[in-house]
Amino acid sequence: MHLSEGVLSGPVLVAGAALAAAGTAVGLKRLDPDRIARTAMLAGAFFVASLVHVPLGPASVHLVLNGLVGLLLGWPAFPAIVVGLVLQAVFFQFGGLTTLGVNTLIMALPAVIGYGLFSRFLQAGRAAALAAAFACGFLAVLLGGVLVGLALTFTEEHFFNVAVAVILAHLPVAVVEGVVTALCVGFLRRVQPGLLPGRPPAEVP
Amino acid sequence: MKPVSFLCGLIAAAAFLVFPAGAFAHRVTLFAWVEGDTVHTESKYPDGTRVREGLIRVLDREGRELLQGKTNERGEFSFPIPRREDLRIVLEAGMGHRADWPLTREELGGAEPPPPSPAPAQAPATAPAAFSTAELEQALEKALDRKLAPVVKLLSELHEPRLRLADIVGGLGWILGLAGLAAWMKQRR
Repeated sequence: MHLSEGVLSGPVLVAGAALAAAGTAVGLKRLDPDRIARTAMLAGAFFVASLVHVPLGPASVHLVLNGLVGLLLGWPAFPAIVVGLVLQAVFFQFGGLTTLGVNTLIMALPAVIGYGLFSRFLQAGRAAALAAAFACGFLAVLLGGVLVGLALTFTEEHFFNVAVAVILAHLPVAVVEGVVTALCVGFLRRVQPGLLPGRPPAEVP
Repeated sequence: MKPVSFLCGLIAAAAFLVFPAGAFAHRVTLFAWVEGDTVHTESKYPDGTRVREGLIRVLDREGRELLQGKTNERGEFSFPIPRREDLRIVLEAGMGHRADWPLTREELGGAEPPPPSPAPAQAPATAPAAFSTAELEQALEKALDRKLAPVVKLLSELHEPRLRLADIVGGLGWILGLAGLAAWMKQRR
């Protein structure tokens, strides 16, 4: 899911960077001071998640957790993911600094879309909340795959093949992501429902 | 706060999961070396998994493609030196994974004219060896290539940077610091 340097054409990189910067600005603006700690925590989880590999099928893939980050943060998912990606690029050479904007968009945009679609169900019944969490984690990765395909299209030209390959490759991760997101949401519902969107933060004893 | 400790636990668990078998289709590494008239390349993922069916393209200095091929089961692809000048070898492992490796003219032995005796497989006309010193040089080069092969292999293994716990902890520290900075700046407003 992290596009390497030197793969994409210039205009794609510039457009990605511009959109990612806009998203990050919106995210920072909407960042409630009380939620900074939470945002940082999720940025940390995102940063580390991509080191966790899932040996599925012929390729080994890794967790992305963008669905979970989006579901718990909303727009501030953009700054959280930017920070995580910068650190991954610098420390692990995943992705790269020139592709930072595109990679941010690939992972953060689906996160925010997932938030918009599914966050309202998290305070509903348990089954609905878990299903919504699964769908959010699943869709966030899959949409990311579609964006990867789209970004590569402008360089490789056969969109359909690329997109199908990318989506097929991400299908297993998407399932795993959905399960992990649902597990996290189920846990948070029991332990700290105030962390989930749709409810004012629970008073801390 | 319990969720905090939960997430910390998750992060710690993640950090430890990495080390026994950290395999991720994230970044690819390419290593190339010259042996006689052949360039060997080896392509791997960071955990040592070989890149199968990766596309290797060989470009000249202007970026024109000289030849291309696919890596085999073990991530290897070898080709005869197409031209003795600066070359760039590019690996495209699909879905945005890419790595490259420059080969300089010196490494390819570009200082001399094309060698009189290429690999036996695709041997064109063998030019008559003019000087015994040239023959000697060639023999030496061959022997050295053979002797140095394990060293080159070792270098290729050392070449790929590994994940380190210090980097992971450092990254988390950065995030903590940025959170502090953000909180401070929001407070001042």
